[in-house]
Amino acid sequence: MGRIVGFFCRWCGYTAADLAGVARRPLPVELVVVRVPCTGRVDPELVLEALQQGAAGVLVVGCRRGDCHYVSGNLEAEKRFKLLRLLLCQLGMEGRFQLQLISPSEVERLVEAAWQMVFQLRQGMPGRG
Amino acid sequence: MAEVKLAVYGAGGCSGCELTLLEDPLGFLDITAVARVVFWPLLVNDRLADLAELPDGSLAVAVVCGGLRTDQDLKVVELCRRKGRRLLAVGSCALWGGVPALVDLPPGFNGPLAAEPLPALLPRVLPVAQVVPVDGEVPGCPPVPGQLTRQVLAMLELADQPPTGERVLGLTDQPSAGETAVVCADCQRRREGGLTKWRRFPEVAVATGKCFLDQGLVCSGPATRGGCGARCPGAGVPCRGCYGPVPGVGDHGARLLSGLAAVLEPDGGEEGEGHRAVDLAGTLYRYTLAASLVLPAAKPR
Repeated sequence: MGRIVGFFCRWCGYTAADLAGVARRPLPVELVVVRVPCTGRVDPELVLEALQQGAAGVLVVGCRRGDCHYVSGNLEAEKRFKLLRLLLCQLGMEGRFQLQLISPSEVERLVEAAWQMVFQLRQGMPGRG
Repeated sequence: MAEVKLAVYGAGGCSGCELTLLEDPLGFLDITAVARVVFWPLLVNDRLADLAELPDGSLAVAVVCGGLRTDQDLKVVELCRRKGRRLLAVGSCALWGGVPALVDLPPGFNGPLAAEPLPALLPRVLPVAQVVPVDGEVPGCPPVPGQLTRQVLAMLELADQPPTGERVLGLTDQPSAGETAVVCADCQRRREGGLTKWRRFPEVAVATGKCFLDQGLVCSGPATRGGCGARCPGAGVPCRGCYGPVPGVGDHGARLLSGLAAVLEPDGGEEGEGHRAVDLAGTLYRYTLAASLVLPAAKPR
């Protein structure tokens, strides 16, 4: 299976991934994390490019509603990525992209989301690549 | 003085771009005053042998319209590249596949295969630039007539200079707005609210002076290169995006998706109206699917 590219917000997802390491909760080896200042910065073009270049999936992790360090970056990201998910669904690539909104202490949720994505993709999700 | 030769070829498209050359009669006369058309299947000469017999580099400019759909398109375009000192890609199809490329939306084309004497289909529609280097481009479906003839003349003038390797972008009518301006820069409609409900064109009595996005109609203006004069919004029809992405943007659809998401009301999310967007893929990539990131990259030739 190819890699899963994670675009993790430095204020929540990345901190949670860090904490997962401290708590000895393993994350899948397929996950390659890119730290970003805010999910509002993640252009859909980056997601599509990762998928086109061979990533099995893309996981974007941002802050819970109301928790954005920059007030509204996560809300913008949420609107954008819901549309992107719809686009990928219509293109037969559902399951290859996920957006998770978590708080920095929700280590379990992050670990679970990452593993679940790996399991789903290992079972061979529909779509190219 | 050596004769200046011009060739025009229409690959996978509707021939609209080729006819647009004639829609600016004075500009076309200017072209014929300096150059002779030696190959143009639509109007004068469709003998491929005539083109093949020419020495390499003997055409001043080869104009290619349309995307590559068949083996023959591929063959002729490679020939045009070899014979032409400058290759000009004209229209949305030549640049990004255009509407015919929507055939490659999943599940793809499963119709009957072409049999002899028809040329075989390529595995997918290819923009010209993915097959041969392109020296100049004119966007549009079809391009604005004056812009096209001016660009052909500009390329004819450049033809005798050594190639720079830089692509000459189409000349547009609003140079003051700059290369990176979008259609909205020229649009007279004004925004007031946001996108609360997706509507389709026949459902709406279009209000004048009000942004289409406020009325729930998808308009490609926010992500589409300006320079067309925003003629469609001026005539009461949302921009369809035929001028393609702004220079420097890789994926037209992704940029438009960001633009639409920015005006979408937050509750227009998954359960809301945003989820009812019909044929999002075909709308976002109406003219640029073949050059997009959502299809597997074309194999380098």
